[in-house]
Amino acid sequence: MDVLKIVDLHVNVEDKEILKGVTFIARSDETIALLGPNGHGKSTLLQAIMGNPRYTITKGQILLNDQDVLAMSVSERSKAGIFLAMQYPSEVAGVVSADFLRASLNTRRAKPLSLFQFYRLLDATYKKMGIPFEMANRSLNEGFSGGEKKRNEILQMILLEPRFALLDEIDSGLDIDAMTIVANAIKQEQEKGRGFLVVSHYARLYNMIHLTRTIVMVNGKIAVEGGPEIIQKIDSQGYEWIKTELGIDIEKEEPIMSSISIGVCATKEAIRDGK
Amino acid sequence: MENNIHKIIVNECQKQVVFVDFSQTFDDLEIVVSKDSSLSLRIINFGQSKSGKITAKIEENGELEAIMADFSNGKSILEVLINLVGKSARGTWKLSALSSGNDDKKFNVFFNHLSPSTFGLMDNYGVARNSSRLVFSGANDIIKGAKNSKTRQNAKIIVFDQGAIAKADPRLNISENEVEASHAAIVGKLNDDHLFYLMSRGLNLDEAKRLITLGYLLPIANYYEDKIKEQITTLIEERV
Repeated sequence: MDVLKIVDLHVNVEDKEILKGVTFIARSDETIALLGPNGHGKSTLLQAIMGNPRYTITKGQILLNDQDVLAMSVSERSKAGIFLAMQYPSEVAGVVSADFLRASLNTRRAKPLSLFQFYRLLDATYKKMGIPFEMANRSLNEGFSGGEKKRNEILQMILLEPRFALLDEIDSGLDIDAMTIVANAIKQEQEKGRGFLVVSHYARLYNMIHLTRTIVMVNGKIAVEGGPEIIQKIDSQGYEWIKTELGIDIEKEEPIMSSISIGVCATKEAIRDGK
Repeated sequence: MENNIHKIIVNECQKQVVFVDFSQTFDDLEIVVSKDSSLSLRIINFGQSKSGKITAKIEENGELEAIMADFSNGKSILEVLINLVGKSARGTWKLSALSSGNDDKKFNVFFNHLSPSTFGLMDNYGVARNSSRLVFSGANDIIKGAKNSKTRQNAKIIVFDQGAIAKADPRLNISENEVEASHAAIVGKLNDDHLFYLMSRGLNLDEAKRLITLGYLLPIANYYEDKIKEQITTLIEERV
């Protein structure tokens, strides 16, 4: 059994405190739904666990089987068994998916996969995810639709066999067929004893996978923990009941002013920022 | 000193593919693509950097596709002048360049749209390493009367190391209203989000940087025959 411990985690993004003391323990036989209004820290928590340098840990601990995750580099975290399926996977021009996947697989193995083993594994996983195998020879995520990018994230998760998979809005942009493929893949991985932290706004995906627990984050803290029944409540009532029943004021998300204006320079900035 | 000139002339209604090793024997290249003909030009420069000039004249309905892989070392200025002289003349220039060590390489690429319905595309890709300097400059000009012409410039340089200097400042000079013109110039370090993405899959920083840079320079190899393709791959892998 693998255990991921988050202890009093405080995280800043550009000097603004987003996570204000988050504590919980996740085990690899659990699938935890992470809910909460936008801007209240769900993505921040996942990004901080993976080690995105834009997110600064100001206090607290992250432990994987009692190992200090915060002392690890991003690639070490991946090799230790943490996987983040990104909300907005980058399009990386020129980097061929197959080359990238092979490098990712071999970096965690003592002996590299033979070309034959690799292609057999790749072919089977592409089939499972319903992605045409030709995509393996295309640039990573370049020109992919939103749904294709999300399926490609799950494909990587299957290949890399993490202990804990963090899924950030993996269901956004998926039609119902793709959602079924993704949910089935998650269920198969659950059976292999992988732990999941799943961020989504919709009950649909949660209903399709086997959930063990629900955590609701409000104002950068855990407001409510409980079973799957909380999801149905949020799905039908939203988050207002948290205020009325628990007396927690939900801070409104401040609109973030974009530094990007129209025209050529905006394209420049957007490309530079990789958006 | 007289420049040693190499001429390529494609006669009317001909199609030609020409391979040129720029490091050999000549300094300047003069090209004429006659009416209704086309030239696919494949240029390499892998040795010592060399200054020179490439001038092309493209006549009515003619087409030039020029590809250049420049992985040379040294100090050089290459000037490229593509004159779209005839109606519906088309010109494409694609460059993949790497500078490293103390290299100082400059590429000035000019397109002159001199007739209506002409098409010009400039794609300059570069990577600047160590303490080298890499500059993409030049201009696309559309003169008055060259109606319905289209011109496009892309210049992108990745500054790989802190000591490297890169500049990309191609200009557009448009004197006619009924045209399409666009331009993008980007100079920057490797994208942090891309690096994080690759690293989150287990690659370390150096592996991630290398993979992105290879992906940036390597696509040019697809324009060449297998032997040159291998040479390009080896050269890039050695130097990145």
